[in-house]
Order: sequence, then structure tokens, then C-alpha cells
Amino acid sequence: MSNENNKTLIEVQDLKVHFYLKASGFFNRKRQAVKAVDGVTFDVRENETFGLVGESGCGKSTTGRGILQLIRPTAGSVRFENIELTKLGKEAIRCMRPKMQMIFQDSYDSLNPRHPIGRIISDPLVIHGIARRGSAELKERVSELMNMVCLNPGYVNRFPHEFSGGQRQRIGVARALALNPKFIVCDESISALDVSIQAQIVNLLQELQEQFGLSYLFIAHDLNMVRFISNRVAVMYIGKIMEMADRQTLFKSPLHPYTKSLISAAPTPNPKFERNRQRIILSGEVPSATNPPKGCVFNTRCPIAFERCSQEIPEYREVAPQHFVACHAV
Amino acid sequence: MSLPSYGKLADNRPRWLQQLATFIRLVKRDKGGAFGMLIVILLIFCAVFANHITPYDPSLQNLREGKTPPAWFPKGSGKVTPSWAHPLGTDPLGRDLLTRIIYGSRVSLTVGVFGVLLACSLGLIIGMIGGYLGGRVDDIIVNVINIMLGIPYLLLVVVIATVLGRSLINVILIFGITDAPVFVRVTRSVVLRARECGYVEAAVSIGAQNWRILFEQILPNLVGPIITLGTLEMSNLIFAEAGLGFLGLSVPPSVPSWGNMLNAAREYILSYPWMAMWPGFSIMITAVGMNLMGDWLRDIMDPRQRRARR
Amino acid sequence: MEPLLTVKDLSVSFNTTDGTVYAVNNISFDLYPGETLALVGESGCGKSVTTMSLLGLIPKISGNNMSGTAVFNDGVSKKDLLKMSEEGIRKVRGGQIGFVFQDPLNSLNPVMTIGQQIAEPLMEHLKIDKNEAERRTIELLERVHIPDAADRIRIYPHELSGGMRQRVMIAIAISCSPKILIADEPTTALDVTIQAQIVDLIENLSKELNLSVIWITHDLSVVAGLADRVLVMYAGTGIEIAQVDELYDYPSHPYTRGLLGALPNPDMESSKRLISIPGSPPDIYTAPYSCVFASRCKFAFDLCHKELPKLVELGNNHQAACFIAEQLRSEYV
Repeated sequence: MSNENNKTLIEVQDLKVHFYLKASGFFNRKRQAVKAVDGVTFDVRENETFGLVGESGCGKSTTGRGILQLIRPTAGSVRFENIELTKLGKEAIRCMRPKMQMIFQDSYDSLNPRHPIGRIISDPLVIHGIARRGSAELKERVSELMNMVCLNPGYVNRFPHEFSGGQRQRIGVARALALNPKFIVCDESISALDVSIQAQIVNLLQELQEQFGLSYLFIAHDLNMVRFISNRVAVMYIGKIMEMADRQTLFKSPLHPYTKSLISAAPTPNPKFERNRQRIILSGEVPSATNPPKGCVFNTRCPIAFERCSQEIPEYREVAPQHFVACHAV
Repeated sequence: MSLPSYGKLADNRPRWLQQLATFIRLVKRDKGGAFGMLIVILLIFCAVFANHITPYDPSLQNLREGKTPPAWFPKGSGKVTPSWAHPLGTDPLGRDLLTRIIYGSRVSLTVGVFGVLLACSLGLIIGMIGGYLGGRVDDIIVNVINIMLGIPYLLLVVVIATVLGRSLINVILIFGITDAPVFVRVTRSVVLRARECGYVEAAVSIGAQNWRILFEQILPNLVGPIITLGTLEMSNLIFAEAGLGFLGLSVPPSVPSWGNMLNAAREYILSYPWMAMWPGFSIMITAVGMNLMGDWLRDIMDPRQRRARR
Repeated sequence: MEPLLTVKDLSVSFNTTDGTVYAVNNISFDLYPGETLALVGESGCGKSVTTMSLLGLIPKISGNNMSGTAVFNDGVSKKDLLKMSEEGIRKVRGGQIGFVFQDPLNSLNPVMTIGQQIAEPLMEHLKIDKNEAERRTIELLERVHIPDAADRIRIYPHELSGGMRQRVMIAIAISCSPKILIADEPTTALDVTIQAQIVDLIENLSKELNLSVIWITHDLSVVAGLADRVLVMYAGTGIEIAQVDELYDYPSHPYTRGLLGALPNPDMESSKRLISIPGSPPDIYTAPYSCVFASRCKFAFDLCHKELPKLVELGNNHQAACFIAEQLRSEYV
């Protein structure tokens, strides 16, 4: 599908998104920082799927939103086709939006329950002045989009709640496709769906990618699915990337202890393999991003941690061509 | 791809027919709501056509027929014989009570409708500003609202009423302002919640401008809650207006209103109880009707709830 | 060996304003001592309703209809769980049958310390005093690997993380030495690494305590390593049941095949497509009169739309409710 010679579409450099929790009370204005994303570097190439995995609260969704400037990053740079997005003003970002879109996790929440789906799908075109509301060409484009995602165009006047979960997710895909984007962030887009429906949506995403040469940032916690769909994968833990490589390397020969344990914890539908595999079961829980551990953020749960890990933040470096790891032990 | 469904028949009727069917089903299911609506319609009819349906002039005095009991009362010891000429009886000045009750609905409804309109407009504007902008502006709004809600309502109304004097406009102004905090609160909370909704973020991500998000995505969420609250508040205002009238602080005494009638009936409450009974009844039925309708509206305003409760 | 629990022809339906929902239709299965049985199916397939009816958690009000039998054999006597009195089922639930649900925060009382919540059923079911109950509580918390158990008994559910709360639920479930543990999606809300911890914990406990486990899930991967037998449900109907290896190696119902095909295999090339099942599960407003899967099945023919297939024995204790199950199975051999 893609190869290393593909042009870089998005370059993320040392991206940081920090939130400030407001202390309660009118006069109390002390603020506490949550480093949701803390220095993330990667790039997404043209016509490639870049997988971003991690457990809940690791900042993978925030990374996606930071790239799309839905949340303005605290620091770092995001370059889209060599345009620095973080420096752009509101209106300039708005003009960039047609090129980069998002498919959300919760199709119920992300579709306005009061609007018929025809309107939801046509909104992007109206907003960017491509077609007037009610015009024949708009209707035609909506039908075309609905056909593209395998929805019956006769349903344009129905409301989101009249559809099943999988169909609603298709509506979300149609909306994202309306403006012919180059890049789509899929934020846990299939996690809420039943298994048989997940496969439908994944297949649809892959077909669309081949048809239009799309690039995806595929954010998910389901390792097997990320492994299946991605060309390259990054593993995040408490706001930082632990390891990044192409999917073969990452899954066949992971270097970071966190990646290793994640892979070993993810169940596969194979009883014989499952019974005999040696699981690395991590002790403890994911520390909170409000108070991350000193040194390497993983040191509190790491099976091979040594003294240096709790003092010094490991450098995120290229240990083999296109294989980045942040670990003292590698 | 169609929804594969076995057993349940697909609904292929035209959309308007489906909506009509839904509406009829909603009326059928919630008999209280339909009853409330009936009362409200009756009230509006009375207020609008008061001069056509009443047999007398509301201020026509006839001292000889003063203190006539309602028509079906036994003859009793009173000087005047009850008759169907005055079905609900008369007041001490011999004015027909039925006529005055019907005319009184005008004041009540005017105060209710315009008071709520004013409160609602103020509330919507302030609440949307606070909810959408957030930050310092919102903090200030919230605190002012809390202070306003903390002052005893009646005290505030009495003070304003004494300062501004007695007139219909003043009454509307008083209620419009004192009732605005409730609308601010509801608006603000709806906007705050809607702002966090996935579809608002989705609208940002497709490049929608701020005004579009506010008017196309957030505002529609307010329609249901505001209409519901408006109906309920209207009944509250009608209640409050009557209370103010009873205290002699509402519209001038010459204007027939339920509150004024109550006020006038106070000294006769033991000997001629019907004089206080009719306005009291009217207020109660109006309040019940509007509350029933408000509850019902809340259910049918939300397309999601319509489905859930089908 | 005699089964511990024999469920036969269990059907549950609810009257709603939309019509009658046939949530569970003629489900039958046995549960043997020490075995782990997985109930697998997508949302709305009736797997949770099945276990709720076993626990007597379906309100007995008009409009809710339940039929069939669920005979629980505790070694002393046999009793039908579906026909027991409120009082009787309460003794079984939490006593001889423990349960763990998906969302521990909803199942735990937010205003009681976790110590109280564990001690209470202990005192009620085992008739022991407060001190004894507290001692046992600490023992139980240690058993589910909660660190500093002696201190933790005094904290409230919201002070614990999701994984820890699930451990508390498990401690409550095993507190009265049950024979059966019903686990309804116990790991669905948890992260992968925490999920592995909980799976590991339940697996070890079931071995140590010789527990029979009914594990309900939508995920065929999770149960692959821990189940002995698997029952696949679709639209309120049991469509296939077999030993775990048999089922994953020779799935003989088109739906099971579809489910397995929809999961990406670790070694699969991403240029390949997943096998997806078209359409979505049906609304179940009538009792099934034909194959419930026919409308989505690529093998469906006339008969499938007319007649309800029964579970047929394919050998090796493998049963599937499909007219062509034998052909489908023979394709693999």
C-alpha cells in the first residue's frame, strides 16, 4: 500500500498539549497542569495508516486533536504539507480544515440528533461555500457520498437515532469525506461497535484509502486491529511515545518493555496459542497524568527498571532505521 | 444497505403522516397533557374574545344586585335572590363575577406571556454569553444570578412595585426581570452541556464558524427546555401576579384581574366566600393546566425521548 | 459427571410499548463443576438477560415472561432457580452463585466502605460476627491481590481505580465460597494490561476454588485462552456450542465463522480484507420462526427463511443450529 519513499504529509515535532485544571472557587486561581501530551514526535506519510495505541488516558486522542488544532497545542510544531499549523490564526485553520478531517468514536454523540443525516453530510460543503443548501448539485453530492459509504441515499431525511451503530459510523465517514480530505484522524472510530460491524467499517476505511489515497491516523486501544490496519505504529504511555516502528518490526520484535507487555496482554482468537503463551502481566495501574512518575514514566510498572530509570528521562532515539525507542535498557 | 429486521413491519408511510400519527399517539398516551392543553386553549379563547362572550361590562355596577350568590345556591337569608342572570354571582358593587373572571384572564395571560417573553429573552442572551464564552464573564454572571436568587423574591417584587407604581407595564417589567435568572440558569447549563457534545466538536472539525455553531448546533437544544420552562414559569407568573394583586401592588384596582378580585373579596371572605372562590379557582385551574402542558411538552420536544418513550 | 447447572429451554420476553421483545429464546446448556463456559455474542443477543434470569434479577412483573428450567444441583438437593421464591433466590445469589458485572462503580454502593460491602454478605450468608467478618474480609482482599488490604477496607469505591474496583467485586463474589461465578463482561471497561490482570486472577481463583465460571463477553479473543466450552448466541438464540478448540478450529455456523473472520489475525497482511457480516442484528419483536441469521447469511436458501433450525449434534459434543452445519464442518476436515 505505501512504502518508505512516500512523501511526508504531516510532521509532528515535540508536540505538547498541557491542560490547566482550574481550582474551584471564584477567588482561588491556582492552576494545576496536566501534561496530556508531552513531547511527541512522529510523521504521517501520504497514503499511509499510522496507528497510535495506548491505554486510556495516555493522551492518544489529545494528540489527534492537537494535530487537527481542535485543541491548540501548548508547544511544538505540526506541519501539514509544510504549513506550520500551530502558527496559523483561527480563520486560516478554518480554511485548512477541508484537508484534514476526523471520524469520532461515539457516532451517537458526534451526530446532531436534531439534524437529518442529509444535512449532517452536506454541512461541510455548505460551510465552505462549495454548494448552496437545497441546490441540486448538493443533493447529488450527498447521494454520491452516501453510496460511497454503502448507505441507501433514500434515507437522507432520516435522523441519526433511526440508524444502527454501524450505519451511524458510516454517516460520520461520509461527513469526513465530503470535502475530499487528504488526512483523516480516526479516533477510536470502531471501538464502540460490535465485532462484525467493526470489520465492515475497517474494510470501508481501507477501500476508501485505496480509492482516494487517504492518510489515516488510526487511534485505538485494540492492538490486533491496529496491527492489521496500520503501516507504522507508535505506542504511547502517559503523554509520551515509548516506541515507534513499522508494524512488522514493532509487533514481531518489540524493544520497549511496555510494548512487549502490551502485545503479550492482548488476547488473540486462538485457544491453543493463548493457553501456551507466557504473558507478561504488568503489576499496578497506570499512574495519573497530573502526577506522572519521575524519570521514565513507565518505571513504576516496568519489569526491568533499574535505578537510572527513576531519575533520568530516557531519550527518544532511533535505534535502528525507522525504529524509535525511549528506554534506557535498549 | 437496508436495516434487516424480521418481524417488525417497516414504516413506509409519508413523513408527515408518521409525524401526525406520532402526535396523536402522544396525545393519547399522556391524557394529562392533552387536558392541560385544553385548559390553556380555553383560557386563550376567553382572553381574546372576552368582550364577545361576556354578558355584561366588567365594571358595570348595579348596587341593587350586589352580593348575589351563584345561581345554584339556595335562597338563604341574603337580600338578593340568586338567578341565572349572574351565574357566578356578583361582588359588593353588583358587578357580574363571571364577566370579571373572564376579563381577568386577560391580565393574567398578558402578564404571563409578556413576562415570560421578557425573562426568556434576557435569560437566553445572558445565558448564552455566559455559557459559550465561559471564563471571567461566566463567573460574574453566575455570581450575580446567585445573589439575585438569594434575595427573597416577594421582597424584591414589593420594593420594585412600590417604587415603579401600579401599571400593567410595570408588572410585566418586574416579573420579566425577577424571573430572568431561572432562564439564565437553564440556558447556561444547556449551552455548557451542548458545547461539550461531540457534534459541536465535529462542527469545529469541519470548519464551522462560531456563529454557525451557536445558532445551528447549540440553539436548537434550547428550544425544548425553554418552551417547557416558559410554560411552567408562565403559570408561576400568573400565580405571582395574583399574589401581587392580592397585596394591592399589581394593576390599578379599576382593572378586573384575579388578584384584584381576591383583594376586594378579602373582607367578605367569611360571609360571601364565593367572591374569593372564583378567582381562586381560576388561578388554580390555570396553574394546573399549564403545568400539565409543560410536562407534556418536555417529553415531546426531544426527538430522542420521543423514541425512547414511544 | 453430573452437571452443576442444567438450563433447559430458557425463554425470556418483555412486553414494551413497542411490542414484545423476545430477548432469549429456548436457550439450553449444562455447566459442569470446575468448568468455564463462555457465552459469546454481540450487544443485544440476550447473553446478559440469560444470566440475569438465572440470578433472579428479572423483575417478576406482568409483561415479563419467563419459561424453561434452570436446575441447580448443589450436591445436596436440586432446585429450579427460575421457580424459587424471592427469599430463596437471594440466598443463592451471592451465596452459592457469585457474580461480577461490567461496571463495578455501578454495582458498588458509593456511600459504604469496601470493607462494609464485603463483610455484609459474609455476615448474612455465613452467620458470623463482625470481627470474624472483618478478618475474613482482609483475607479475601489479599486473595484478590489488593495491596495493603488491612488499610484498604476503610476506603470508598471512588477512591479505587477501575481494576481495583473489579477486584473488590470479585472478592465479594467469592466471599461465600460459591460454586458458580457469573462474570458479565468483567474486563470490557478495562485497559488491556489491567484486563490481563483480571483474567489471570479469575482463572487462578477458579482453579484454586474449583469454581464453575460462566463468562459472558462479546470478544472471542478474551475467552479463547480461558474457556473450556463456548456457547455462541445471536438474536436471543443459542446457535452453536462446542469445546473451545473444536469451536475455533471448526466453526460450523455461518455466524460464528463471520465473528471469527471479523477479528484480525496477528499474522494477517493488511492488504487482505476482514470477513465482515453484512447488515446488523435484527430487532427481535417476534418469536423466531425461521433462522434468525438468515437475513445476513451468505449461505441462506429457501428453507432458512421458512423453518427454525434446531441444534444438531456434529460429533465431539459440538452442536450448531444450521441446516448446513455438517457440510460447513466437513469443509475444514
